[in-house]
Amino acid sequence: MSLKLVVGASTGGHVNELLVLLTAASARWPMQPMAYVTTMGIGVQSFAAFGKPVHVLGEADRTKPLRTLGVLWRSLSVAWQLRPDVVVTTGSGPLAMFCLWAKLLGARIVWIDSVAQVDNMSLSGRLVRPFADLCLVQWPNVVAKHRNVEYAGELF
Amino acid sequence: MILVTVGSMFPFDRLIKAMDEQVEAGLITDKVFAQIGAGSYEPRAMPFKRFMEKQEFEEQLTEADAVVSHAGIGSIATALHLGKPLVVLPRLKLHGEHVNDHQVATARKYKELGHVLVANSEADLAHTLSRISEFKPAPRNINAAGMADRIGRFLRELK
Repeated sequence: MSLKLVVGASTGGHVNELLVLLTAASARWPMQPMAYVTTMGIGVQSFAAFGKPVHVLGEADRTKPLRTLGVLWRSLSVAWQLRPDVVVTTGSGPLAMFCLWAKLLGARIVWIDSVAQVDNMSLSGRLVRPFADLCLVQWPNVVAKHRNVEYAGELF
Repeated sequence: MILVTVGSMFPFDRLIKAMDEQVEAGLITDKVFAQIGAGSYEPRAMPFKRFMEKQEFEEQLTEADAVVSHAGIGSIATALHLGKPLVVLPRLKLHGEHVNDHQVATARKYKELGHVLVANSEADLAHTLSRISEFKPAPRNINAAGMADRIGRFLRELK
């Protein structure tokens, strides 16, 4: 039985980055995702072609604490349901919460910080980095600023 | 033709209003077409649409001699992919245009690499556009395969 891989990204630019990665990954990864995670209903269609379940966490940011609680709860419930062995994500905040729960439930975490982060890692990236099993940034100059971070290419 | 795009559904009235005013004032003499999203400012001096289907947008983009947009990665990547010279105006948190000011850093980085021209303020758009005919955007080389290979190696080591 191969490992259960779940991939995810916030609806919008983060999903676009993930889709570029998945196109490159189709011939390069030993397994393909068994489920997809995003943050808005309109983002589901981006993954429709894969024919696998797509889970929606909801959107949240620092300025909306109540919504953030909702996303925290939904990310736990999706992580509990899926029990991934590995999570690969291109961010952002809601996916960081999903990574946290998945990690606590035993998953390995691959975090890719957005290409929009040209100087420093994102806040969510900095939160996930300490427990991520592989942490990639998309600009060589950002590697030097954080420990246990690698640059291996870029998606945009 | 200059294509102006806010790059998404989110409003960017500061860009649209400034372009409209500069067209009206005769500071920009090229034909201009704008995609304005959910903005509340409606242009008077340039034709516009709020949203375009992907295909229509791509047709407009192919036609365009130059593009003016926010400093979003998607817009920058799309213009670079087609080799279109691009002027960006970063969205600012101050005006509620984004959750933070990361577009300022994005704009600076892509400018340093020779990919885009940056308007430092909305008043600077016409002046920046006047330099666009001599600007040849440096092509951007992306290495998605390198990243996919690195993650593939990680995944195989788990087995």
